[in-house]
Amino acid sequence: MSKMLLRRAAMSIPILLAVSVLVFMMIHLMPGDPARIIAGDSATEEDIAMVRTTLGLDKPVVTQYAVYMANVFKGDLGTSLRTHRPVVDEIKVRLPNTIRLAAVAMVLSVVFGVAIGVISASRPYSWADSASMVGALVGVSMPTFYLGLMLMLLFSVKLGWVPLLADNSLKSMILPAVTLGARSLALLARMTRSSMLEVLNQDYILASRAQGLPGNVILYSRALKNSMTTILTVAGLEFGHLMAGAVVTEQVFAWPGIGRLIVESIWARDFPVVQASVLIIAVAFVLINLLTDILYTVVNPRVRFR
Amino acid sequence: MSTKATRIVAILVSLLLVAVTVTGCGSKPNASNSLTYAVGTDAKTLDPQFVNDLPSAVAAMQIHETLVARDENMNLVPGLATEWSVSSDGKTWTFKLRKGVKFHDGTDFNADAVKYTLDRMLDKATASPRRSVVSMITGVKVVDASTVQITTDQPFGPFLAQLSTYNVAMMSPTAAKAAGVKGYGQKPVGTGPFKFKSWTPGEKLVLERNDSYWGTKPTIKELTFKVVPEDATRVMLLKTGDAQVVGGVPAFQIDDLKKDANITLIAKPGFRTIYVGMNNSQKPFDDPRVRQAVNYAIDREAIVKNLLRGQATIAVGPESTTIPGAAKTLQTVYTHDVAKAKQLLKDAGYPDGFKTVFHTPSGRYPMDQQVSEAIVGQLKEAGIQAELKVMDWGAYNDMLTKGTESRLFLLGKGSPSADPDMTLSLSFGTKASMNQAFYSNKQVDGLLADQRKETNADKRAQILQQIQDLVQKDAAWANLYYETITVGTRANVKGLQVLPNELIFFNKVTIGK
Repeated sequence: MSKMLLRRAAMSIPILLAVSVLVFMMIHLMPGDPARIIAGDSATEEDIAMVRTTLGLDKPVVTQYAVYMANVFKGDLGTSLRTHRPVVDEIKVRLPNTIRLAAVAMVLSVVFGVAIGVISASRPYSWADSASMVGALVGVSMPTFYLGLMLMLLFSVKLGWVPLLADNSLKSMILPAVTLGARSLALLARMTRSSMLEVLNQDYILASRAQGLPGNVILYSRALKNSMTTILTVAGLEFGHLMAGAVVTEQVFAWPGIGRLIVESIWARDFPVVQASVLIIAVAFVLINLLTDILYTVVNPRVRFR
Repeated sequence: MSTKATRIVAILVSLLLVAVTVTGCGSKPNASNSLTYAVGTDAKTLDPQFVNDLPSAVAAMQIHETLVARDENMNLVPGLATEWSVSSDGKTWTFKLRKGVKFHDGTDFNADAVKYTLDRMLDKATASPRRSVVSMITGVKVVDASTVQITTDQPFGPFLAQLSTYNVAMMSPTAAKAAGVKGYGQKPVGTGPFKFKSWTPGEKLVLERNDSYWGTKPTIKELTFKVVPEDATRVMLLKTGDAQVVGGVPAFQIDDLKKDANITLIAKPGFRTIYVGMNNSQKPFDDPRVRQAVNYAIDREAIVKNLLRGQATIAVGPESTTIPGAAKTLQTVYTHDVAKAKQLLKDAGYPDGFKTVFHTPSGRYPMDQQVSEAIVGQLKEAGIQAELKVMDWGAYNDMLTKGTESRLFLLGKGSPSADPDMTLSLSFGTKASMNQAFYSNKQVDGLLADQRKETNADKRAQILQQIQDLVQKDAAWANLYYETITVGTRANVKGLQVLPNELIFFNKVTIGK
C-alpha cells in the first residue's frame, strides 16, 4: 500500500511542473502590460519604462520562468508586483481563511448531504424524498451570488441573527459556509441517494433481510458502508472545488480568502501572485486526491490488495 | 428505521444551533470613538511615492501630509509649509516650514525631512512610478531647520499643484531608512492626524488617532478601512450600522438609501471626466467632422438622468469645471442633434454611416458598461453601427495603448494634482502616455509647453482656456459627464470632508448618539 502511495506521490511532481509551465505561459500570453497597469493612470512613458526594468519584465519569458522556478525551489515565491510585499506573506494571510471556510462548508455538506441522501433512499418516492430531491435541485441550480445576498438580507439585515461580515466566530461563518457548501450539499444528497438505492437493490441486502437483520443495521452497516466509495469520491472532488470555487462567496461576503486574491491579481496582472496561488491550489488538489485514495483503502478493503 | 435517521438529523441541527449561540453573541464594536469605513478595494501601498490609485491615496493621506494642502474647495492652502515665495526668474521656490511638528515616531519634521523625501522620490533607484510629478526639480537645499529651497530646471507654473499631490507627502527619514524602499509601504510614518496601527491585506487597515497632531485633533480614536468588494454588501453594512461610512454607492441604490432616515448621502461634483475616446489616427475618426458627428449623436442628458440618476454633471470640456483653473465654458458646445450628426457624416463622405467597434471596460467606473450600451444605441440613430466589445481592464488598457484595434472607447480621467496641466499634457500632448486618442496638434503642443513656463496665474489660465477650446473644437474626444462622488454615512456622522478629487478626510468627524 505504501508503495502505491509513493508511486502516486511521485506522479504528482510532473503534474505540478506542468501546471507551473501552463500558468506561467498563460498569464504571459494574456493581453495587458503589467508595467503600464502598475504605473497606473497619469504615469508618463518614462515612469512606465522604469517600472518595467525594475520588475525584470523586459527579459524574455523563458528567462523569467527559469529565474522564477529557481527561486521557487529555494522557497522564494517572489514579490507581488502590485503591493511589493513578498508573495509568501500575501498567501499566508489568505490561504488559512479559504481552508477554514471550505472545511466548515465541507462538514456542513457531508453531514447534511449524506443524512438527506440516506433518508431519501430509505423511503424512496415518499414526500420526504421528493421534498429533499427538489431542495437538492434548487441547491445545485441556485447561483451562489444570489443565494449569498439573499441569505444576508434575510438573516443579517432583516432578522439580525448573524453578523453581516465574518469576525472569526463560528456564528459569522454560517452564512458564507452555507452559501459555499449549498451546491456540494445538494450534489452529495443526490449522489448518496442514488448510490444507496443501487446498493439496497443488491442480492446481499435481500439476503440480509431474509436473515432477519434489523432495518437500521442493514441501512447503516451494510448499505451506507458500501456506498461510501462513491460518497468519498464526490466529497474529495467537491473539497477541491470548494477551495478553488470560493471566489464568488468570498466576493459577496468580503471574505479575505485566496480566491479573491487570485481574481484581484489577475485584474492587476500581478503574475507572481497568480502563479503562486494557482500552484498552491494545484498542490491542494493533488493532496486531496491522495488523501481520498488513502481513505478508499480504509472504507473498501478490496482496494488494498490491488 | 427512517425515524432514527430523522432523529439523527434533528440532533445535528440542534447541536449546530447550540454551537452557533454559544460561540458568539458577537457584540458590535460600536463605541462612538471608532469608525469603520467600508471600501470596495484595498490599498496597495501606503508609501505615498508609490501610490497611483485612489484607495491607496485615501489611506496614505490620513497618515501623511504635503507641504501645500487643498481645502474643501480645492484652493491651495498652507500644509506643512506655512508660507512660500518664488524667485523673479521663477525657478527657485523658498518654503517656510511649520514649526514644532513631529512625525509619529517622535522625530522632528524639518527641512532635512523635506530634502530626504524629495531626494528619495527623485532617486531613480527608488523607482517611483510617479517620479514625473517632481522630475522638474533640480535641487533641494536646506537653508535652516525650518526653511527649504527647491529649484526647478525651468519656470514651472503648476509647481504648487504638483507639491499638493499625495505622491509628494512628507515621510519620516528615520522610518523610511529603517524600512527600506520596499518596506515603507507597510510601515508608514508621517505627520498626519492618524497613525498606522495594523494592516491585514484584503481585509482591513486600522489607523489610530495621533494624539500629538498639530492641527485639529480627531475625535475618533480608531479608524478602520474595511475591504468589502461587493457593492450590495457595502450598502447592507451601512444599513445595519456595521459601517459608518461607505464609499462608491451605486447609482441604482441611491433612491432607496435616501428614504432611510439613519443614512445621509454626501454628493459632491467630482473631478473625474467620463468620455468616449476616438482613435484620431484611424479612419474614419481621422476626420474631425466624423468626431464632431459622434459628439452630436450622443444624448448626454438622457444618460445622466436615466442611467446615472442625476449623479453626474454634463461635461462642457475635457477638464471638470470644478478643477481650479479649468475653463467654465468653452466656445464649442455639442448638444444632442441627430440631424446635424447625419449632415456632418454626409459631408465627410459617409452618407449611409459606417460600421465600427466600441470597446468598453466593465466595472471600472460606475455604470460604465450600461453607459456604453446606451451610446451604441444613440450612435445607431445617426447611422453609426458600432459593435460593443467588453474587455477586462488589463487587456483594454493594452489594446488602447497599441491603438491598432481601437476606434471608439469609454474612458475616465481624474485630476490628481487638481490643476488642468497634468491631465491636459498627458492626454493631448503628441505621443503622451494617456493620449490613447492619438490626438496631435502642433499648436496644442506649443501651448502646453507655454503654460508650464508661465508663472503669472491669469496669463496661464488664458493659455489653458485656449488649449481646452482647441481640443474641444477638434473633438478629440466626446466628453460625456463629470462623475458625482457619492459617499454614504450613518446620519450621526458629522464633519466628514469629501474632496472633489475623491480624497476623504476623517480628522474633523464626530459621531453623535
